[in-house]
Amino acid sequence: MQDPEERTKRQTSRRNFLGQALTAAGTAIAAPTLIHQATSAQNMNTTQTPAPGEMAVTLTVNGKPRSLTLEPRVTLLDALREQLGLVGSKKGCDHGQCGACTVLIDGERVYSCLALAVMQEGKAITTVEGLANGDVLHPVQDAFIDNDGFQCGYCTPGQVCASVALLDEIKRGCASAITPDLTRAPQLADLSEAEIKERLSGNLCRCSAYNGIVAAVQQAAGQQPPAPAAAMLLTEPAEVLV
Amino acid sequence: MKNFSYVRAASVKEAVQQSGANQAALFIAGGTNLVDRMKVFLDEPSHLIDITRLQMQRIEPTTDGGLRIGALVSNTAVADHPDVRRNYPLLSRAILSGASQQIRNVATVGGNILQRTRCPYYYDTAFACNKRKPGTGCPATTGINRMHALLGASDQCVAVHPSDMCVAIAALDAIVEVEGPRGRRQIPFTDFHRLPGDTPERDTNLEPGELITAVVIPPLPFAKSGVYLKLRDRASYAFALVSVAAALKLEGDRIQAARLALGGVAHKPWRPTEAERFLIGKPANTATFQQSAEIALQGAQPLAYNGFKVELAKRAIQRSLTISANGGGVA
Amino acid sequence: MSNVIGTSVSRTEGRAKVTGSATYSAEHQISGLVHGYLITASVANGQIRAIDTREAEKAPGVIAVFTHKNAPKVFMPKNDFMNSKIYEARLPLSDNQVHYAGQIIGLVVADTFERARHGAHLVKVEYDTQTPLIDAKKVTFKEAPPQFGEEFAFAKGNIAAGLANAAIKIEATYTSSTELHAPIEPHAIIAHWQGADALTVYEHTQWVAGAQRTYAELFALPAEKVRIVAPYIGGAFGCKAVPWPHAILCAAVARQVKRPLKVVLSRRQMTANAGHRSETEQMLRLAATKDGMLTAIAHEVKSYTSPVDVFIEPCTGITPVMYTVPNLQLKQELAVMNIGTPTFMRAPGENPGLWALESAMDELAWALKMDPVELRLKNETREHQRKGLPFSAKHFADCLNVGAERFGWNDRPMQVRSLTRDGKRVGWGMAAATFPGLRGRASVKVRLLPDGTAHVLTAANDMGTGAYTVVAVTAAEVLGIPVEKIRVEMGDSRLPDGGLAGGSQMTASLAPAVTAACQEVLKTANCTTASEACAALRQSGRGAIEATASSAPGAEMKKWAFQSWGAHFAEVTVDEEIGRLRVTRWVSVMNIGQVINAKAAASQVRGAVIMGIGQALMEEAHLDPNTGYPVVYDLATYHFPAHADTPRIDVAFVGKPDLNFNPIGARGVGEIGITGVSAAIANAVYHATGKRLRSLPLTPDKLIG
Repeated sequence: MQDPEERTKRQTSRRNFLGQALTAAGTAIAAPTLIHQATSAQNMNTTQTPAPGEMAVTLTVNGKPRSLTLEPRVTLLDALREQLGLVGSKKGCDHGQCGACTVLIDGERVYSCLALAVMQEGKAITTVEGLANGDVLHPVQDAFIDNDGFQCGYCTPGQVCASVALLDEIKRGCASAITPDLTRAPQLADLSEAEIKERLSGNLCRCSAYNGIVAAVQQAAGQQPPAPAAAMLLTEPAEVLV
Repeated sequence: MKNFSYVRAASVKEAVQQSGANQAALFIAGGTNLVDRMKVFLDEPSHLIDITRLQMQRIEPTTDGGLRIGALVSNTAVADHPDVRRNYPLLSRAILSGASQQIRNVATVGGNILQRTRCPYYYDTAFACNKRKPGTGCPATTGINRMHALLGASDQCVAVHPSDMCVAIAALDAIVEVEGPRGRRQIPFTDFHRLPGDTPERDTNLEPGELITAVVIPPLPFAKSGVYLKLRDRASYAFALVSVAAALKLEGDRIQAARLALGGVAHKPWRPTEAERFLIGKPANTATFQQSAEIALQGAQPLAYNGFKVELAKRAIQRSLTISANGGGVA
Repeated sequence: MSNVIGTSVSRTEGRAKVTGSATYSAEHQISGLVHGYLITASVANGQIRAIDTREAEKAPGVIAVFTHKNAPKVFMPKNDFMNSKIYEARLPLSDNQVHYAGQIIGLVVADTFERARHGAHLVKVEYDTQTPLIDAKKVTFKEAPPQFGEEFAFAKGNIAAGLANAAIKIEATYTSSTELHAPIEPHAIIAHWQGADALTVYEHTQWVAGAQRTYAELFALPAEKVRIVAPYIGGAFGCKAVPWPHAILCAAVARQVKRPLKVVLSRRQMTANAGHRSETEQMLRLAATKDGMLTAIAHEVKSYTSPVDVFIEPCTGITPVMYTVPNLQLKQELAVMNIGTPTFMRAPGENPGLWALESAMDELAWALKMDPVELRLKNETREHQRKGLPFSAKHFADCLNVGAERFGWNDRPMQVRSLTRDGKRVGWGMAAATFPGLRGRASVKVRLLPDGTAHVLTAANDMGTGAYTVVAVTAAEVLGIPVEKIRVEMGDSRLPDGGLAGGSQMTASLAPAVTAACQEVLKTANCTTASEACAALRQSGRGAIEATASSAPGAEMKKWAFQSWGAHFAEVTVDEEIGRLRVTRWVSVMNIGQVINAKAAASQVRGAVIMGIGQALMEEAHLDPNTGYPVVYDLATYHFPAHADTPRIDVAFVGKPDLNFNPIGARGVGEIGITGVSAAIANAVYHATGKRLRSLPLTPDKLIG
């Protein structure tokens, strides 16, 4: 389980970096552009009248109404990524085969790559960008960091959203294909590793951070997962600093 | 994906009318298969009719003790319904064995029934395909046909139906309710899907403009011991090599009644009715189950790469019947 | 001494990844961006007779269509892997020839993704076709040419005599399937020209400086006119090292249309145009004395390449490093097929090579009635038998012994079909793992700021390996300041050349350079600690102290052979009636020298083991035998492990820092974990069932008893 102090540090550390002006001194330093933070949406055509073949729609994304004009063939995933600048939801396969695009619609997990944007009016869409409460991460997000539940990070938003939904499904008593007794669904406290794995199998991870993801779900479910680190049986310490 | 115009239908009647007015229109609900196909130009509708607001979203008991499931009920809602879990566990487990939670949350009962084959030759326009373009040929017959049909195929098409839910529904002798330009009708589920024959482009006996409105599951007390066994190349989130829905009614060790359906072996969910009939009156033991499996696979015509599925299907039948005879559970 | 190095540190970029704010190649927000969609060939061998783009050009939103008839100009780079490298030696759209199905034959540019995709569908192509060469039984094999300067053929002793006089012999052929890297992030690029002579490329690359030089050569520009931006990479495994044809085409077309252009491959397009691991056929002959001393190993390998480039799956590299043997013979053959170009995939050569060798060693152990751990301990070699150099800091025996203990190996009955659980057969198997310790040149800039924080800047990258954190941990260690106070910037060619993230060498290359740069900063400040230096900075009112340092391998390469070692122990269950195989328990023990981050290093091993489980159980790409077009082309048809396929993996590290190798003693951990995995599983299946399976993957059809 995570130390609350570490969590606070984690939350503030990145903000500090964002606000940091790189100052050159002594010799002239070409300040490197901080690329990661460029995330402003490029194409927020909010007030245009629809061109032929397009429609005006209003989507509710992370609690905010977002008005768009788009062709009916545009998927929710492409609307989020290409029009709203919300690139947290990932395009991995574009065919509902990997889970990287998972978002929550009215609280249920859905592949946004197979959902048409025009069909989502009036629904509450939550993406990975909408899970944290300001600077305070969702417990599932914290658990992913603590348990090393990712490597490259590309499937991670989908895994995180799916895990958030999974915990809610358990609270609602949903069954899985391997639930031994369908009339008695598992509770958070007795949710087995096998159940977690079956229920998350619609989210592929090629880096195969699966052990860490399962541990993250266990942590968020209030269980005690095994520690993520390897057993270090090194015979001598490094002699780096002399 | 070709662009299209989009409307929301307010009632079944309106949806059917809108469909009748436009030959190139398709209904869309969950869209998990249709959007997928449209992206690779297998379907190029010029018009989509969104039926998700229609009143076909309920599961209700029928007067004889069965269930009537609205066509728009999500796969998840069916699998998690207390009556389905209690009385038709094989249906719950079949649904939960298919796809992923994300797909099951939006995929509807009607859409699941109407999903099309995942034959890789059908699924890529680089290949000829009689199902996609009648008369162009079937490269799967001489290609990599490891996943393809053993039973009821033709030289025109060796594709299989991909659904898990439908295998259980076939075993349960369900009825499909449809509404179309010429009114309502009921189609027994086992007659709903077609074998490919010379018209592989037609998956079902639905007429143009007809909409599935509900599926009726008759009462079947011994379905409580029902089993769904799915064998595949990955432990989860993969289509079946072979699957079996089975349920036995025993009196002592004698079989009183049996239900058996196979997935992954034919162009439609396959009911080996002779194998079911064979089981009746026999002792519930390995020899009986083996013989019924032999009967079920009689007439199997394996292709170059899928011969193993004949034996695999037999084993799956034996295993499923054995588990059902012991009261059911996870297969 | 060591405060942070070797401890368990959460990834420094973790917050960005779990909140969705980490920016991958296709996600950089650039105004005026347009979209490209590839047109690909539906035949595997032929010529384009006619290509009709008129309907596409008229479609709404389409800006331009490019084919071989109006191909934009690019120059052939040196392609020597020193200065520059492209994956496929044929430049895109260079003529009307089609060499493999799915080959890129054009690009449609439109104002939206949907319109570009539809435009590509409207292009009509006619071909003259020839029968494609795709049947492994019908192609012609030739001796493989040297690859990256290394010869394949090797012989020592007298192989014929070694085999003839042996008490026990094993001769068997093992095959592995065509495998796809299948990173979850599809290949993506945004090319943005500033005028006609300055280019910014937003593209995942495992080799930032190499990509910069390569794009510069492709467009005859000075390197400084090209900028590569790749802060995050959504998985690579070897297939994102250098530009593929689609990326070259994107950059060239962006210059023509004078708009920033984005091209993202679909999964189908990735199948032919983004590499794969070639299938292999390996014949192994082992000979041993009655007490289990190896007397001969002959290893013959066949793999395949495309008509437009040469890549050899170098399986014989591992044979001289594993076991002492007086008579050794290696042979590697290659055939050309009408397939996309294969390339490096996690442990190229080592992985399929150990699949064969470690399966054969298991067969030998059974033939000898000897414990397979004992057989390996008995034949361990102290030197690299091809280089003639001793191994540095080798702890292979510790891997075997510690692994056996953690797994409970000594309880294994030495008899097949001897264990059962819940009606299933249970089997235990083991295999060795190995990967060379590689290291390259790397440069790093470190900047210490008055507030006690530091920046570490290098054009290296983190494709999920944990490199950001490795760099931060190393800098924290040397500077004596907390990891949270280190900011690491990577993946930008404006930063000092951080080398190649490949061959498991990023840590071994970077960590010494980070160390040197940190030490240089302290030296420049004339202080012994960072806090002293920061205090001096605050006093002087200066903004920062910075230093750049490089490190590179040196004379040690002539004295030692550097190699990492490991052992896997696996438990499987086999439900023989229905052909269901599950991997239920796993122990991996690795000797990689100094471990920098106990958490991320464990994850590297776990991820690699699971990728190996995929190779063993399910991964297999196929072409249609008639047309040569792929029939396994997306993530529904190409199975790799899902959550449900994966056991919990126990990882331990043994040994000591390899200080002969570099001042940190780290040898890298990205690839070794996958080596030996498939053999451990097949060996466990044999123990469970008595069935020796020599052809991957071990799908249900091969397992039903």
